[in-house]
Amino acid sequence: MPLKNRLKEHRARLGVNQQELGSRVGASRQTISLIERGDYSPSVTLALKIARVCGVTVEDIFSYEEETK
Amino acid sequence: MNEQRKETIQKENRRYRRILLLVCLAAVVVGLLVGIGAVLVQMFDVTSEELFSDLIVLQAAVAVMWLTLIVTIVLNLHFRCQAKTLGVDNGGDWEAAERKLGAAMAVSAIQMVLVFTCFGIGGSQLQLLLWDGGMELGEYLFLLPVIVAGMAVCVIFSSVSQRQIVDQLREQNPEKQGSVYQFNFQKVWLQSCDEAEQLQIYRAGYRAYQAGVYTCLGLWLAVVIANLMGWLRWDSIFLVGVIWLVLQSVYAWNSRTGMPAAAG
Repeated sequence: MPLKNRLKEHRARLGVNQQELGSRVGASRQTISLIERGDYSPSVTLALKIARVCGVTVEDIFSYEEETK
Repeated sequence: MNEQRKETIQKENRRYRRILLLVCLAAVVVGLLVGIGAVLVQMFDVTSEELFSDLIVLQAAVAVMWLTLIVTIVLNLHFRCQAKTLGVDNGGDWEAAERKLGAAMAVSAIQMVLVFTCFGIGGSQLQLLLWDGGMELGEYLFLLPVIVAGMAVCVIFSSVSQRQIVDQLREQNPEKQGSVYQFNFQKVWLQSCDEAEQLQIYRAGYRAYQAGVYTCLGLWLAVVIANLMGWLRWDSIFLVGVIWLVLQSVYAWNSRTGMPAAAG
């Protein structure tokens, strides 16, 4: 699924590591890492939690782009 | 690396070395006993070809059982040491460390299956040798505890090793719960995983199911042909059928929401 994200930037802005961000949103460090690499698209619930912790909207972190054929 | 973590790692290393020494000593002792037992058994005048092949199978089963233990000890040590080095502090390569621990767990799990299989084959061959007159009762009573002790050592090592791998994983992921000695460990562990980890586990389960179904199909074909040739009896076909039935039934029951994708 072509879901891009700027999670790493927002996490750096917050000044937390992956473990800490994971514990704040109820996910593991591994999952945060997968999301940042674009290897996993979070559920709506998790995306909303991440956006709330980062203090921005979901669209500020995640963006969907159609694949060009 | 902070002092507390260093101390924890040193304590764990000491504990692991003690267990390893104990297991190696036990392996040497039982290995010697198996060797003496094999020599004693070979001294018998086994003229029948069938009895001789039973002996070979027995010795092969016991030898494979011990070989898997030695290979598992070496591989486990290798992976766990690498994992410790990789995930040593906050800036460590956690993913690589967890991949190493995953490999160590896979090795332990495979070793357990091989040990059970070899014990089953070795134990049954021993019984056959006694019943068919290829072995005296005294020798049987000598060899039986040797084989049982061998299996006990292998199973204990595998359990201890898996517990230490899980402990190491929990150290890197404090939110994980469950102890390998719990009856419902897998359920508790799964519940403590987040959505991405649960998805990974379900994917692995589906792949295992697919591999199981294809294996059952291949085995069914093989045992039917062997049955037709007179090499095996009908009970082997029945056993394969039971395993296949369990696989299909459990999968069908769990995917009964009616989604077409689950019909695979």
